[in-house]
Amino acid sequence: MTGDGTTGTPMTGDGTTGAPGGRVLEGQVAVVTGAGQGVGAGIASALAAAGAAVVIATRRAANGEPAAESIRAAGHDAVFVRCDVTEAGDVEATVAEAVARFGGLDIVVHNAVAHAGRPGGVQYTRSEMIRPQIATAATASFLCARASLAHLRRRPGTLILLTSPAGVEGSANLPVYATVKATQRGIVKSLAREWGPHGVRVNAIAPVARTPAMDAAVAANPDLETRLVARTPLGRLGDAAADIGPVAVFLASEGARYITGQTIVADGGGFLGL
Amino acid sequence: MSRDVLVVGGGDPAAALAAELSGDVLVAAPEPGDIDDGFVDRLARPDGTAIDGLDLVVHALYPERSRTPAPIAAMTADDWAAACDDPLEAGIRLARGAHRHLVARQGTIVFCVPVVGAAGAANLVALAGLAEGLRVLARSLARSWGSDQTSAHAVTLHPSMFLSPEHAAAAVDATALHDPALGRLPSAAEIAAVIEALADSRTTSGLTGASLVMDGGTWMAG
Repeated sequence: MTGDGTTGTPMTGDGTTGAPGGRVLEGQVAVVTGAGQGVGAGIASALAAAGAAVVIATRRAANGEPAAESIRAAGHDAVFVRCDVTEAGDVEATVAEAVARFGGLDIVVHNAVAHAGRPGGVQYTRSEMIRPQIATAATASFLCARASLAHLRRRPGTLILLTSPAGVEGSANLPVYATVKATQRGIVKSLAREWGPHGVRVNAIAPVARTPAMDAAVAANPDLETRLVARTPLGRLGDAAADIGPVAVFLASEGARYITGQTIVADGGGFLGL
Repeated sequence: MSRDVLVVGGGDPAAALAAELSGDVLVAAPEPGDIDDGFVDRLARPDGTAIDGLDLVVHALYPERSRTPAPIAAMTADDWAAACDDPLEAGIRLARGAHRHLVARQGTIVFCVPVVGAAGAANLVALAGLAEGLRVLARSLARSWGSDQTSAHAVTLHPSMFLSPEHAAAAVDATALHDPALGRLPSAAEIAAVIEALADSRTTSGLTGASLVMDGGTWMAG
């Protein structure tokens, strides 16, 4: 801790940390769920590039190991830990592994998401697709929060949940997805109030970015990308590492020390309804 | 044709609103786990006849464990499921089951949610998550059901409609900067009147996906 009760590198007059190479998270430890690909992998690589040691927490070694290796190959610290975020034991073990290996925990990013199934109204959603989406968003947010609080309080650190613009505006074709993403926004706002007195900040990112899931959706519906880009003032889909990752870095950094309970929409301006 | 209304939820605000709504009002107070996709189909009117269409469905199903404050670190996985996940799934499955009955009447579904979802409240994280999920579920339903002239809305209410006086006071004290602008909170009759207006095609046929805050002008959030 610094003398004023905050953490991390003191800010300089120009609003930067002054850390060499922009390593504003030097010495910090992060767990990122669902980091084997897509937005999670982009956030993990950005956090690592900013100096954090990163635990890639994902179910499948087939993408978790390469994601960790990619970060290590770039000269940063990363390790893969197998984690099903809907299992309390897995989440607790992942947090314990982060603390044991890197000496503490500063940043938890819960990004993992369940497959939303085929697009359609809620009455057409396959019954068996409902609970897994609730579990991966709501239950897992609870499990990540509960498992990490004791460690985050010590630094104090930050929790970031990945939600979606659909969690604000709803979705005709992915109604369960939109519902569980909205649930995460409610969780963020209330946890921010609950954990603020401990100095632990809680925020959400609502991204739109090109990911394997997005590519699959575009492949199934070629007009989708055109429609998404057409409604995006910046005229393109986001890049997970270059556009979304830095938002997580900022929220985890000293520059965001007075920000909690917020949803940062990182979608090129497509959704402006907050 | 009678005006068929289904109110789902035990205790207040469901009971208070059911008492004020007009029409043939059927009240169901199931446990969340009792609501599957066929829940509405299995309901019957007091005379034993099956439901064959609904003009209005009001969701206000909040189990006691959702309304009981607890710090998240002290909650078990079972606590969380009972307070958030189970009632959230119940809300989704209620909508699925009610869909064909609402389409038959070009009806309206209204989710009554506590303002803690939009404004946040310490020790009520599960309730807040549930509330915000249901509030946006209404928007998703509005988007997908609009072509059937079937509407969906959310009405955001003061915590005192859901919580004990002690717990509501704690939530208000910790989050509200302002007293109610109206100098009082809306009555159940006033809330029911707004819900009935939302279901009245003569006045609100051009409205769907609305999220109305009826907290007396306290948070004005959501």
